Amino acid sequence: MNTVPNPQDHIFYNNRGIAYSEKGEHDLAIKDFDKAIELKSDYAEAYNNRGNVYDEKGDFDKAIADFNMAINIKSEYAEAYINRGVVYGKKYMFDESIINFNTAIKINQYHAGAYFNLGNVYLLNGKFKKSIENYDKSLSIDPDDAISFCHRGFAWLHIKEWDSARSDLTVAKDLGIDITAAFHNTYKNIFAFERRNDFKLPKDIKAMLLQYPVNVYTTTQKFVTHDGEVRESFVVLELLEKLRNAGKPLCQYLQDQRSSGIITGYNEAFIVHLKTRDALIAEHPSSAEILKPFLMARDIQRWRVKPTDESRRETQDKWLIWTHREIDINSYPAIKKHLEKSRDALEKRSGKQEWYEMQTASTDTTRFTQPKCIYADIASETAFAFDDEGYYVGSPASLLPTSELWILGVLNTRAVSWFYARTTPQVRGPFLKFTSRYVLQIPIPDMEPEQQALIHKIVEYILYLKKQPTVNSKDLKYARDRVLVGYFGNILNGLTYELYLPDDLHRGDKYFFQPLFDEQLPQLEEIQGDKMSAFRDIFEQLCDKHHPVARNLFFLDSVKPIRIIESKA
Amino acid sequence: MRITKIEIRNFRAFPGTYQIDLHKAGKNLLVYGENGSGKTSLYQALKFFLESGEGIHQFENHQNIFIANDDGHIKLHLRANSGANEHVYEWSQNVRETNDPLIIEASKAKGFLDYKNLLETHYIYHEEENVNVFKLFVDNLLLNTVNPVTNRTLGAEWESVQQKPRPRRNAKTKIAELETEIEAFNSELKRRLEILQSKASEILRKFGYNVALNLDFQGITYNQDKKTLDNQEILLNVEFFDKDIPAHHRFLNEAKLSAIAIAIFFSTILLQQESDLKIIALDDVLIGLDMSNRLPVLDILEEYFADYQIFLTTYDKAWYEIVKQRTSHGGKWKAVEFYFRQTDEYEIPVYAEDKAYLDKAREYLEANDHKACAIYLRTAFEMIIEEFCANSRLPVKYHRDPNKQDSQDFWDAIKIENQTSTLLSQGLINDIELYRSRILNPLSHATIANIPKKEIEDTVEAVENLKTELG
Repeated sequence: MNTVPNPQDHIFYNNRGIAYSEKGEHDLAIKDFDKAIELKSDYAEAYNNRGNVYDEKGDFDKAIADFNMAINIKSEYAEAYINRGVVYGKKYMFDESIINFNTAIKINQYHAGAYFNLGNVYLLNGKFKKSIENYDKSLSIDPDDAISFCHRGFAWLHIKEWDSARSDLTVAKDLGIDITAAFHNTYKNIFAFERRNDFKLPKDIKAMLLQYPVNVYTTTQKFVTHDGEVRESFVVLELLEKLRNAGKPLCQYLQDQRSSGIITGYNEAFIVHLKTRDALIAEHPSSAEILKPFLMARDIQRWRVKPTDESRRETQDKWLIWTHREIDINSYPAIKKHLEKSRDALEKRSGKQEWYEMQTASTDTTRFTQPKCIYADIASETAFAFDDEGYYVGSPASLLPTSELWILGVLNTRAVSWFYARTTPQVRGPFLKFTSRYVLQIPIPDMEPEQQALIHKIVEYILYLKKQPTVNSKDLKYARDRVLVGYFGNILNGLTYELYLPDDLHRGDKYFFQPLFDEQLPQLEEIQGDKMSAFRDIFEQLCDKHHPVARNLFFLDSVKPIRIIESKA
Repeated sequence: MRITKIEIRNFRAFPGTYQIDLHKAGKNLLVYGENGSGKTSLYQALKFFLESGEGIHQFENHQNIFIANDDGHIKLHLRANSGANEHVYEWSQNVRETNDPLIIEASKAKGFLDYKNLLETHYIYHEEENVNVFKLFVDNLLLNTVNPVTNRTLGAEWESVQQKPRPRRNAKTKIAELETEIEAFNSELKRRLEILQSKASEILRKFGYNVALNLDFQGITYNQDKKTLDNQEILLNVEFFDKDIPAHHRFLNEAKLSAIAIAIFFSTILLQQESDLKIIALDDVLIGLDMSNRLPVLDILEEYFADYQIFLTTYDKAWYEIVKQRTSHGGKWKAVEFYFRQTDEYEIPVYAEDKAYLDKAREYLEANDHKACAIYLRTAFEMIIEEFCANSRLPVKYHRDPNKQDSQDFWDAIKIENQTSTLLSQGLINDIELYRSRILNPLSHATIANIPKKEIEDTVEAVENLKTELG
């Protein structure tokens, strides 16, 4: 129940004064204590409280005058002695300061605060042993006094008692003291401390006391453990965990997890150009059966494979001679003749294959002929391409036997790129190795069917757009079309972030799914007439500065985890 | 969201604490400041404060060098509207509250331009035939324009392209990688220029130029032989009533280029997203414009940026007075003046809310900072006598060089006037004369430490009396 205070009541003013001073409203607090004293001229507590506010304001003389009054009124007022001692200390009048604390101890020999403050004066004056004795006393009375641990830790530092310092500072920290802030208050910073004392602090203690600006994201730099192992910072580890927990690993979405590309063991013989391929077929028509369109790692780009013109099949330049394990080479005389030219080299390959057979490749052609995702085994960033034209894939490239475009959409985002780069060993320089062991562990976020459908729809857009001549043109006349397809890719970034980090994004008011549902984007096949011009319209709309998608993408990096992922923290 | 108060302590040119109150409404700010008076430091305080959220700046690198052992800070007080609660954000060595999304977003969408950004216009003119604005655009005006594909600024992308190793002819993968990056930059720059040129042409018409801008960019290319980035060219063409100007470089003098640059700059802001806290700051940029082109800028700000909070600084006193006059109605603007004063050690900016220099002098006296007290006292003294001479139309000795004008001229004029009509008591005149040589004198601060507090106190009183008697 609230009771209405009697405004004439001096206790009311005193209490409100305390409340104001706790809020930092110094002037209002002083006014209230004035009033309290006016109502009760021998109100020692009000004098003491006002003295504290003056102290906080830096008005030491007025503070001392108030403590004097409090002590005059109430001679056994230990608190007022301690407060007066503290202010004298701030005025560098240490002798007066010590007298006041000792008086407080005489009044109450179990006053932990008095010993603590006495310890502080000795600490400031370079009498470290004496200061430690006093902190000991303070702690014997109040064994949980974190700040005494903290300051005793500082005192140990001065006399290079590292183990004691380490232990005191750790206890202080565990008890909730911000020891870096306390250190900063006392010594400004580590370098000032070291300069003043003319010795260096041990590295681990330095690390305990290093002052990081408050409210700054903890550094995302990697750190080195004492046994020399490089570890990600906790912020990064925590974020990786968050992404993992948002879904299931990729392997759980795949029926068949075999992924490696074909190794011929001698590409010079097995891979032929268009001209040779045509010649082989002309020589014997059966050759066509085992000549397969072939892709190598360098042909793989994000979203799709090179070359990018529509009539690729006819001009396809690389063909694989598909001589698998069960082949009867004599049915393909032209091919046999062709391989015969390299027989010596083919014989020298390791493995148990016949000289005319590829080194590794199952007889199963469906993994290649079915729609699938392909990726290079070494690349600087995640780049998954979709292929529904039945390409055979050669090592060092691999495939994911899935035709789910929404999975492809998730894989080609910055979130996955960031996750992958931090969970896989680097090869050399900026290059990452993409082995199935790690790729299959990429977490695919859980989502609703309609979310899947939206991502699928946009991936379809991108795959279509990537085949358009204006998008592939080098002519800057079509610059907008290139930005357009990139923008859809960036929308996928936004959507995927929302799936991985829904709470972080929504707290920052960043939504992508809802505004895109509202947009009711058409399915690719629903777009009639000139699809390109329809896409230009959609782009202009989604890119308009007032559209929530554009706005949220633009401001996305104000969201903390996104700043970490996009290296802006 | 508006800034209602700016508090700067020991930052760059500001030793001690300076507060600029922009009132509950979060007014726009017009600043007059002599060179070196802290005007640019104020601009930087705002800019760095906003950018500090992105971790670009460390406060200690900008701490006032003369106040090494005293911490500094910048604090911005913000309000969503004049009825809403005030939030204070601090940036200092130990506190970085600027990494709040509000500040980070404000920084991304802000429009800051200073005269240094426009210096490029001076060099361009001499290139005669082709007016190439690539550097002006990419290094200055479009620096913070965000590429919607990569979420990076064009400035960062261009920087990254320039810093990439230049691969040899046969390093196909490396070349492809570099070219992919160049392509992303080219495409967005090209697209952006197309949108910008029509918006900027619209704004240029407000300057009275009925022209259409044409920005011709053919795209950066990588030259594998010379390992250079070629084609760093954006050619500026101006079409006048749909006809090319034959000798357009004569039309495109520095002033017009400045106008075009400002129009482009405004367009970049108009075409990008708006944050909750919308800030535009122009530090001396209108100086490069002809007088006739400066006023339209005020109209443009009014028409296009009504919901932005605008900070306009200038060292041109005449222009300051014009803007002050123009913006004095409607209560949307606040005008403040910064002066600088030489002390024996350094120059410090002198600023007081509503020119209450005497109050400031008293404050410093009470804080036992005699030097600062004397500086404010002298400023107060000079303001009082100058203002009195102006209001009473007293004849003051004329100098061809206005910088030669000093307080002695005004004081002499008042003394002459005093012979016919008694403005001031003889006692007060004697006091002022005495203190002028000791305290109210710009050269005397080296000895200020030796002057007893009592004497400074008496001087404060004398100047207070002077104010009363002349008022």
